Amino acid sequence: MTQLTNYKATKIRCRQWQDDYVIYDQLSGDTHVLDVVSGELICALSKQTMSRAKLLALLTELYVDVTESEIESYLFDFIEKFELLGLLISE
Amino acid sequence: MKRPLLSCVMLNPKQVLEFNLPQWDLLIRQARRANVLASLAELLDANALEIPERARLHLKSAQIHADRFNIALAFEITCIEKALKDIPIALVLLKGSAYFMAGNNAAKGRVFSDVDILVPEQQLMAVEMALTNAGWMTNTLDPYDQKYYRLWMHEIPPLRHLKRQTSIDVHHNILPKTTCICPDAHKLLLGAIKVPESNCWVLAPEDRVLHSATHLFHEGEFSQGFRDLRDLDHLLREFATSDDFWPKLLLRAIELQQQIPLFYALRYSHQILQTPIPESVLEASKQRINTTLMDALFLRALLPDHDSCNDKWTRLARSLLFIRSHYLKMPIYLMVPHLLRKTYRRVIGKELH
Amino acid sequence: MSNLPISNIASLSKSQLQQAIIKGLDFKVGCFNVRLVSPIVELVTHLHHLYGANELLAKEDFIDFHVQLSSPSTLRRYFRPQVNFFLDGYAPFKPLPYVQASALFEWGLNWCIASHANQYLIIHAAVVERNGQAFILPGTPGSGKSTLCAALVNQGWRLLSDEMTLLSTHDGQIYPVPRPISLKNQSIDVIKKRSPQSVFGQIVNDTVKGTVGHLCPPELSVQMGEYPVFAAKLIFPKYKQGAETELSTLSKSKALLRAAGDCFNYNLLGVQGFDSLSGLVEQCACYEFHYSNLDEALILFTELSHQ
Repeated sequence: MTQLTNYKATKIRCRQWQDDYVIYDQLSGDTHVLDVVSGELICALSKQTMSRAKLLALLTELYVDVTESEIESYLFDFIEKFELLGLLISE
Repeated sequence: MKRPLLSCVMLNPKQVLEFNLPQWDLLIRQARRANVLASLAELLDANALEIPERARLHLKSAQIHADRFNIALAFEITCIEKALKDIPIALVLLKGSAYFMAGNNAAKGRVFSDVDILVPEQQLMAVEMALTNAGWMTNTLDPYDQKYYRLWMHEIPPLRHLKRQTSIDVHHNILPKTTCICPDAHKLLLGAIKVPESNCWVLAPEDRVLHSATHLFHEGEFSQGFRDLRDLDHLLREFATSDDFWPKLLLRAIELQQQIPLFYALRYSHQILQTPIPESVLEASKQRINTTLMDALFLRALLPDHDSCNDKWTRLARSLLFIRSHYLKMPIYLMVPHLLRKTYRRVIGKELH
Repeated sequence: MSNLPISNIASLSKSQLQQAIIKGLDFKVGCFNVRLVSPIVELVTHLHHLYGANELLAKEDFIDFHVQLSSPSTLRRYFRPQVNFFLDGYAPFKPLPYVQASALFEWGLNWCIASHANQYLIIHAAVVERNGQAFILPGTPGSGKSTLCAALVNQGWRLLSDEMTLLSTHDGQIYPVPRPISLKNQSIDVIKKRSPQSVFGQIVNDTVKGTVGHLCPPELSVQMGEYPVFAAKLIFPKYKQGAETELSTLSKSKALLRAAGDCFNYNLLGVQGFDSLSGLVEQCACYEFHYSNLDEALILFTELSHQ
């Protein structure tokens, strides 16, 4: 993952109720329940392509009282997990 | 034999404007049994025809089914592309998945459940291994069935994906090795064309028609016969817009030794669905065949498998064609024990048909 | 004798009904038109007892499901005879013992609707209505949904369906298909004891589901079969012997995921299914419901229907 990589969500539908996000993957037909942070990230990515820097900035807004390295670690896990699920593609 | 209501409507959709409710009822039922209900829905939509509410709901229900399968098919093809990306072959799609990727009219409203691909015989093992590593597994563990496919047929046993439960048929030819006139698969692969903006390939138009023809006219079960004939009709109408299509088709049939299936395809598509085929082409495709007998069989078996389309000879016609298909696929010394085994397994409930 | 319109199944004598079914009886089942053709006498009794309120169709109508039940005409009919279900000549199931004909008719009709009505998102759930509010009760095995449904209906709730909730993807309403309520094993005795006046069809033993019986739906529910209603409550019941009556709120996301698992055609409907189910959990109050005492359950449900 380089600094120049951009990310975007594949075709998904998002619904949110309070702290829960439910997303529908229109390609595979899978339905996922996500926590609020993952949900915010993936729904933001479904609306626009985002660079790593932008994603870090968004995470910093969502996650208060955490260190920079914890945020980086979260993003790394998020990208790995959602690419594996087929919900995220890098370009 | 009387032309079914479904055929009449496919030839002239505007007829439905005169229909009463029982006629709509029969039309829907014939289309459902022929597995072309969604395709009929597309046709009626394309003609912007008014449809009674109940009939419309059945048509819509079938369209939803077909639409979902198309989305699933597109996804499945990308999964297969990923699984086979390290193997030095072109991903050549066959049948429905080919029509779908190539945007052929035959794909509209059609439900394609399995994906069929054609690979060079020498790459079969590599392909099978790559697919297995990506989550596909053979369904067929019976040693006899494994032998049937690997020794005699033109495909390995069907593979099913563990998670998605989708099937893929990997072919190395379009007809079994045991067939008298087995085409040269290498020629088919050489003629394949790339689908624009994709990593997939499809057979050349004339090969797509010939494959459809060989498949249908070597077939033993005709429950989908009308639908498959309609695919042929769609392909022929679409490709005939190219000036050189007909001569190419006739020549290619000779090259691949599939003149007989082509003759049947043109004859029955023309007679049952009134596919516009030049008289000279019909004449050039003629073979030395007892058409009286074959007409008696195919003109029955290729109609929708519905009571309203069958007559007292239909069942016999289908049975005879079933035996014929096995006779074509394999010599008698293989066919007889094979059919006996199939019958035994059907009786003890291990086979569905 | 109730004031039924002339054109209902109950208006036919048993022998008229038998003659009609042999040739083809056309009748309404909720929003569907069904034609039944069968020589089987037990089906005549089944329809006579349990489908009396269903309207007969005028001639020249569009039939949604052409249903046939018959015995295979092989030597089997002389020992351990069987019955087959056909939809327009196609048999979706293996034959069952002849004595299970009425149960097979019901299961077959369930299959017809579940397989051919994609204008609805179909949830495997009972749905009942009171005060203009539909309560959807998804039914995993052991949930007790059928017993609960039967008890509610016997207390005056409107039956929309005991088995299949039809959620229209077009207008978000629940469309009724009020049919005999399928009960199994001890549930039959529970309901008979609570409501001795209940009319049951044939009790069939040794089916794949155990002992099965069908309870006649209320006449009024069948007559209201044309009227859809919006859902207000989505309640996942769980019967457990000795359990306290407990209603707990379920998050919308959990409710959606669980309900999706209980649908016949959620995957088939794709994004439309997701949108419809999202809309449903949005508009409904969603709960998990544990109980063992039916009386307490009924009281609680009645209270809920006023909220």
